Amino acid sequence: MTNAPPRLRLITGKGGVGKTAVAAAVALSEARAGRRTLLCEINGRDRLAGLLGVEPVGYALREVFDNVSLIDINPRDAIHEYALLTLRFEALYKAVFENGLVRRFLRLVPSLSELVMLGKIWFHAQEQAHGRPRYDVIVVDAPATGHALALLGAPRAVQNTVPPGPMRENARLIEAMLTDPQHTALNVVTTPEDMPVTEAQELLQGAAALGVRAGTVFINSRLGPLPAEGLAALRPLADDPELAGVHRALVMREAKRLAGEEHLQRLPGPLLAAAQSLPRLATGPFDRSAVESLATLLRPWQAQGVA
Amino acid sequence: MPPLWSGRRVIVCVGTGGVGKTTVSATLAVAAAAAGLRTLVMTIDPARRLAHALGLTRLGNTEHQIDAALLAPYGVQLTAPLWAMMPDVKRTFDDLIHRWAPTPERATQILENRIYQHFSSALAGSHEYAAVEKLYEVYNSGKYDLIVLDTPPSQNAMDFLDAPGRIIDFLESDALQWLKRPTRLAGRLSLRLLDVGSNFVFKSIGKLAGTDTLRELTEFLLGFQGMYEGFRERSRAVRALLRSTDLAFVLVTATAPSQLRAMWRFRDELEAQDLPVRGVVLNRLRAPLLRTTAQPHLDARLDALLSPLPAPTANAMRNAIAEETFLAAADAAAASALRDRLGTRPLITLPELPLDAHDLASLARLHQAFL
Repeated sequence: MTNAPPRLRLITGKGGVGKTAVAAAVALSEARAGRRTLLCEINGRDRLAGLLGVEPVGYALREVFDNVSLIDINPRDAIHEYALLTLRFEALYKAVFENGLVRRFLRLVPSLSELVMLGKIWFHAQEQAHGRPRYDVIVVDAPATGHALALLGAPRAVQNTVPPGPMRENARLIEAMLTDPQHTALNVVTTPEDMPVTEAQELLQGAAALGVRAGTVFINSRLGPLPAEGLAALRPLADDPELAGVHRALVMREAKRLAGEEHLQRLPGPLLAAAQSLPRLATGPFDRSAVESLATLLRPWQAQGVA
Repeated sequence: MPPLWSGRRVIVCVGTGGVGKTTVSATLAVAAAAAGLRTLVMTIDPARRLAHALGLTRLGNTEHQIDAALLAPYGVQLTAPLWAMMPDVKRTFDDLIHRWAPTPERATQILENRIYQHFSSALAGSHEYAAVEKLYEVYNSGKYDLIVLDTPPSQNAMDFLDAPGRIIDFLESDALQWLKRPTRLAGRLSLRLLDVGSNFVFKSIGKLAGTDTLRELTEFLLGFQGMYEGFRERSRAVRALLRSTDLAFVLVTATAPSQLRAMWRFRDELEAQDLPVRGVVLNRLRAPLLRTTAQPHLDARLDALLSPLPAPTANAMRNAIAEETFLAAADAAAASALRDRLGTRPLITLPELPLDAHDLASLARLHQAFL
């Protein structure tokens, strides 16, 4: 479509807020708009494949729908791939890395796992096919808050601890990709609740400190207000022997909604104003059809700015 | 039915992220203190309001006693003291280093090592290890009749249970044995590691990670020399506590299918290891909307109230009622399936409250369920 490098959208938030579902929905909506999309899971045990109802992919990238390729990146395979690139020979790799001792050692090198996983994403961001970038968009279902910040901070950490050499140079290139506002955006997912909003704030602050641009915030399971006159009309039910439960449930729903909206006020004003709200899907299991219905609700990316 | 904690001195609450483990742990502790047990709740990363309610304004390895007068207005009479604590992972590790290092200089050398700093805060399992380590310490203090331990959210219960084992494995790993050998031959803790530079394997790692990193790593591992015995003993003792008859697990879940699946997985993992599961807490159970099944008659009554409203308003209300009815029915079905599958094992259900249960009023309201 264009020769611009692919846009990288990193989707993260507190555990349990629906990151994976949002990442899947974003990927489907990008693909529907005709953009070649790579959807990456990080150490995800193929949860996305399960959600989308396709065969597990693991580390073997595969196109699962038109315009949607899927991969589940794990540090072990990523280190293997990276080491092969650096050491050049499989035999050498085997001699060095298939040694339990060395593996244990590598596990302790700060940020190495994170760096090689980002390296894998970087590799696909540079990839060309038919004289143009292979993907228009890369959507990453990133880990939850703390691990997400460790992941994004890895290139900086490596440059601070590793002397000049191939690894440090790679870290520099990866950091340049992550901190290019035209290229990369961090999409925080939250629900209108106390802890998820607190972690959203931590993520936004962490991203700012690392120089990663914050893109659209997704507010998942956000309820619309109940009309006051509607609640007033049901007030006679409050002490009704049969229907008090209906009144109570709606009052509770509205109280929770208001409390949730108050928590959301802690988000930076402009991001909150531009946030993409997603409804609570209260019907049936959360599966591919639910993801597809979420995807249709997403604003076109043009309206969201770069991402 | 006896309370969940009867006959135990430690209750460990396990569950996946987002089920309200921290609130459930605090509620259980309030109930135990109301029942006359000197109780400590050890919590990890509580919501700010809960932390504030419990007086836990910052991380600290010391217990904070909760003022009984704070709970009294909500109708809770604590008949024994209640404490709360939020263990500090890094401090816990640092304390261990201070305890086992042969000399203060060695302790400083380790504490200042960047690899150690990474290891003590960022390595998978370090939170879990710090929690059980601290648990062991307070358990042995004998100050408490009951300790309720909230665990970090995790994908499987073993992350937590394996933590002491992983530390032992690490300390006994081939990598360490191998590293220690040349220095032992040299008879001193010197930087024979410089040999490392000429070693083929290390050269390759150095090429990837940088030789400085490698040197720091080696220094870190060698710094532990002389401390292994202490660490190993301690890890064994901690592991023994996790398997003692003084301790039992309580599984915490909310009503979403994925949360229930995770709960069953935890249960299977614990039982596969012969670890005692005392019961299940089903949190945030929605109350049914309708008390009878006479739907048509009730629908007609609702309609009578809603139809005079403008159509969009009436529709918004009908949709909301349909959605809440669906969710409550799904919760009821989940609770009943859970009850069937648990058989005679205790199931405690906690109702959904209008607000996140992060304050003392909510704890007071919920704690009845455990008594």
